[in-house]
Amino acid sequence: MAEVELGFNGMISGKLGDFVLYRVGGKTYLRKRPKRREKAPSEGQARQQSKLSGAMVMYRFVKQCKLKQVFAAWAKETGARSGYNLFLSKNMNAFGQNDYVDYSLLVAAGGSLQLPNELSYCGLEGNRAAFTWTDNTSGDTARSDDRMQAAVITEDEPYRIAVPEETAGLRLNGKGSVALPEGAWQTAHVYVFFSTADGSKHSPCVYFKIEKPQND
Amino acid sequence: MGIFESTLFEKLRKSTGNVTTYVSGGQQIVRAKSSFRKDRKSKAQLRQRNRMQTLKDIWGDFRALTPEGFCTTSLKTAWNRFVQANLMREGMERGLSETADWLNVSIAQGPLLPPLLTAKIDGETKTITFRWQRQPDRPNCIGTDRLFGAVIDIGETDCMYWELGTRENDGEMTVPLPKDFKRKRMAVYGYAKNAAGTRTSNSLGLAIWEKNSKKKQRSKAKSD
Repeated sequence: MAEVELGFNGMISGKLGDFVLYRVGGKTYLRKRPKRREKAPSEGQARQQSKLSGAMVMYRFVKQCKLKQVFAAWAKETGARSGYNLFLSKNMNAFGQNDYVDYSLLVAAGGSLQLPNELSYCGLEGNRAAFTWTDNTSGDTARSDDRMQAAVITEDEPYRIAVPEETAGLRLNGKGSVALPEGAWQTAHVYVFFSTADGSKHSPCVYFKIEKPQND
Repeated sequence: MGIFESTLFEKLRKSTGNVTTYVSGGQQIVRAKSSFRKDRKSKAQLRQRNRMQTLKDIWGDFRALTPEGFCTTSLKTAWNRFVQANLMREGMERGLSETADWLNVSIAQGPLLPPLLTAKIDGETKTITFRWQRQPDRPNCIGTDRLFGAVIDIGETDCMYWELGTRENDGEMTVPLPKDFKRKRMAVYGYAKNAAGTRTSNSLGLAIWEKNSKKKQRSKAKSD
């Protein structure tokens, strides 16, 4: 792979004989065109491919909810190439072969905002999951009007991640709740994080595994 | 075997004496003719010949379906993929002698997850009813994947396929059987294809129909 400096603002990409010119991160590269794969992928390659394809399927749902803005803002703060790249790099290792997902390894949000202290799950109140925390308002990275948010995945839709609109709770309140989706699920994976009132900054998330109580 | 570039001949092919030339992958190739090989007819060879013969015999029934199912516009590529998908399948060796063997034939092959699809042929109303269930998104199974149903008139060269819907929702679709079908024996198949049209699932044999199957079953029951 060679880096190329070109005139015309370097805006060139495409095939050139047996070579490909492409642009990544504002730079133009030249490399040989890949050959058609003859052999089946090795076990390691197959494992890596399933990690990537799992993360990509989940990102389809990230794009459809607030998490797209969360990852875009986080990427801006950290200098990552894009929210998409950041999501893949943070989450690829949570996925495995045969639809395996380690939900405890998933990262649904991140950024420079602080999490409140002692964030914990209190239980279900109807279809709402309730949480408490200790207010740690202390300036720009922890404001009193920061809002609690949550990303939710239910076991019947193992790759569908969504941020329910019906969340309630400010940092200064010390408690909040989120409406979980209707459905026949038994286990929900909830990732709680905080966002500034204008939605420009976000905190890292904390993972909770929530089980519906059995009806005897 | 040799590769040559000639300014005199372009795309030279066929044989002269013991030398044969052909074009492969854009290159002009010359080689000696393959030597005479005694027909040993081992069991394995005979089995393989039977399989190839079966595939040749049934190719006419499936030909029009295969470019869509194997994601190509070339009939030659479709044939190659059809052979690859079906050569070792059950029933190929004995020539699909049982009607049920036809359900083992693959009209699509690929990495996508097969759809949750069923089909029912109604001989009286001359329709096929396809029903499918929603499938949650996961790798190789996306809501935008399109579902296809296909029917062949066994022993004839008639076949037809329909785009049914997507995996995103449950669905049902009833389609009329083509008028030019002889409707003696029919087989119905289904598969999924991604939105870009580049990858499919393996096909499913969904239903088989024989004109006199009920009468046959009744007469068999009486004789028993």
